[in-house]
Amino acid sequence: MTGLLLGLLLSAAAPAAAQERLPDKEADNPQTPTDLPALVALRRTDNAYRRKWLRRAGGSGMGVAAVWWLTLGDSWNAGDASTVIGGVGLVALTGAVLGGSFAGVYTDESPLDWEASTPTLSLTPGVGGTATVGEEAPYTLTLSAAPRVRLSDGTSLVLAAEIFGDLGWSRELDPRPQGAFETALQERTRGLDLAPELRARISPTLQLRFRAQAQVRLDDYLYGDDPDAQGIRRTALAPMAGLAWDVSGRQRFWFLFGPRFDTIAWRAADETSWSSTGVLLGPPVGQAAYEIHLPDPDWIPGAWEFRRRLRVRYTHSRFDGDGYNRGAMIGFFGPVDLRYDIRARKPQMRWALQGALTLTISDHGGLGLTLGVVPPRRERG
Amino acid sequence: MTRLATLTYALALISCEIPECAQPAYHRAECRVAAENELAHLVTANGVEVRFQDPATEDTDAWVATGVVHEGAGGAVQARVAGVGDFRISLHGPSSGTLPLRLELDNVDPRIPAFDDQVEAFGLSRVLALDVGRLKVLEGRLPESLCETGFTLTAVGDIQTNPIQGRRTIAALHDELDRADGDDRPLLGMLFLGDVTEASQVEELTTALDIFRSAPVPVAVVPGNHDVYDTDDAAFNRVFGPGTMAFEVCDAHVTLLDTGSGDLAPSVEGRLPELLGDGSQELLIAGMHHPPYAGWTGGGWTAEDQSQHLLALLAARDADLVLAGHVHERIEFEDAPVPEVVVGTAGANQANTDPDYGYLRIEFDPETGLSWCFVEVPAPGSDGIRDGSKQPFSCQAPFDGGG
Repeated sequence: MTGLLLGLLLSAAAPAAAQERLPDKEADNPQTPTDLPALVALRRTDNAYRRKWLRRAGGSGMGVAAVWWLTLGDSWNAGDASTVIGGVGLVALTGAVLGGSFAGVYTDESPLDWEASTPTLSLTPGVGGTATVGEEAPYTLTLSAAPRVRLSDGTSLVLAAEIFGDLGWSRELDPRPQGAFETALQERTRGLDLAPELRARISPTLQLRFRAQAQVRLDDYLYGDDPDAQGIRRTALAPMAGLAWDVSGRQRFWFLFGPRFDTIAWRAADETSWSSTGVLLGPPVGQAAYEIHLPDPDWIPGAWEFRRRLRVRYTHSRFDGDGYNRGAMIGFFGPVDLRYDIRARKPQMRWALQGALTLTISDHGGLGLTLGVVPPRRERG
Repeated sequence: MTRLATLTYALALISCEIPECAQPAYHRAECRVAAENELAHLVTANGVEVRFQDPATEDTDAWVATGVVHEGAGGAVQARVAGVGDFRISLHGPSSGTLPLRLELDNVDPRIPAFDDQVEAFGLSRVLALDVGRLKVLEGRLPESLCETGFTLTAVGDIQTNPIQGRRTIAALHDELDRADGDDRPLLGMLFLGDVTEASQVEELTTALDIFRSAPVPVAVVPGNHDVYDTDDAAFNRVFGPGTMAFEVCDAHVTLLDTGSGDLAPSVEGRLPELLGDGSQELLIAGMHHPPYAGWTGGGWTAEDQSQHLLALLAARDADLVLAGHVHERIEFEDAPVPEVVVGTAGANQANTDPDYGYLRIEFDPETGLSWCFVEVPAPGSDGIRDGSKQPFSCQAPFDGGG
């Protein structure tokens, strides 16, 4: 986090530095038409310098993480925090590069009158099925809500919540060749995630964010041909703090980081009460994202108005059992997701509609589709 | 947009189904389950079938992944016992008459009495010259009187790029054997907690196998993340046998789990109640590479739903000790839901420090119960760590460097 924080603090001075015209490919070649006002050109240069500083911060973060790993050893109780820094740095670097590319196409980076931010109410079905003979993976469904309450000028509260679950049982077979490929395990998961997030603006471009995430997952297991289910209840509480930085009027980088506290409870089928561990210190959690908001695509005809958002996000958590592993690098990283949102509104409609495609890059990742709605006048940033 | 979504879902739904692990993917834990079970039996060139069995049963109809069998040069069959203590092998020959078989057993406790057809014994090896009829069963059992006054086990993980230090660690077990015999708590074996290699290479695995052959007691090995990321070759299982096993030795039920991919094979997760035992033994000891409770270390599982499932079952059974490697130091988690010790200290990189090499000594005394301490095996030129605050605490007498 050190490199990132250093980069972000330096980046707060970036607008002033922009006027010094430090060498930078994007900044030195703003490709601003000479007939645009000088102010617009300067703003674009500011944005370019912010992205430059973010690239540096991201690169520094990845460098710090790499040095941390290489000097302390990847398995030397170095602390999960090093991989958080690496993941957040990757998002900062990737986002800033992507942001620069989009700024080359969409030269106007002034804030949009409304954006395709997270929909207020949405539904995400997950496709079931497996590629293995005899095994089953259920369809899943996630119902999400993210209403926003404006507390005062510059301060808001996002009451994010999710209910999720499997729409059936998964079935895993025993692959031992001396057996009959009988059922080894059936599993069903459902859960609740509450993540209220307070956002307080501390400068024209910086916002403090605090998130108190609490997730409860209920996992039922059927072992072999035993008809009685074993219940496991897993609870995680993660108070996180972070920053959001408006890199430009249409591009934002944010990250959150904090500790995680778990409890694990279990109950056999014939038991009515749960037995539980005490509070356990879990691995730290973090999340970072770079968001690029895009205007109405002129090429779509009709009365509908559209806004779009491209987001690259890294989630440093393996609580749901998924992560990103390659070679011997196992158990360190969480998933990365790329999400493309499009929000549509007809002038006479009170509610806006939103759809999103998400590509999750992880061991169990894939494509996901989200459908959502947004009430009137709730779209802004 | 609608068309794109429809197309995406249609593509996701249209897929061909194949049997589990019909295509090699041994970086997946489930495929290693299939491999280790396949490798636990062999039909030899002259038609005798060699099957590893569960020593706690008398079944011979199928086989159980309690070892690994190969046919070597010259027709000798080599069978490595995977666990510590008792073992059983069934040999299936022709329905009439007999067939000759030279069987070379490896990783066998020297205190197991000689077999009738034994022609040679050296260290952990036995050579048997057999005539196999329709069915012959070999049972290797430790003397029942061995553990009357308690017993000792040792545990360590993580050699990786430092097999020379790994060799020193194993050499230290000879002193450990003498000490344990002197205390009337005989040393039964070593639980090796993964990462015997750096890059999953066969040469590294066989180097480690040779090191373990120099031990005075059997070594049971689980894979680590560095041992099993080759997709096309179940090399770990070919060399060491099963990565998941459960055995009973003296008063302990020992469960070893393959967590080399940061997870459990789902079929192993489904067998956890069986693998963790029925509670008839006085002690439950579990070992694996990735610590199921990892605190802040960064050395955890990728599938935390499985590690927490495992922790719940271990806690429900009042497990006495959970052992893990992966993190290259000694750690005793005071806040874990079950007693848990990490000892990834067999030689793997500990960065720019005077390394804290050594292994865990686990002793059971019928009067005082289970206890453990860390036996330092310093690198040449090092005096060891001697940090009195490090947990698990060092045992009183540090290894003197091999004499």
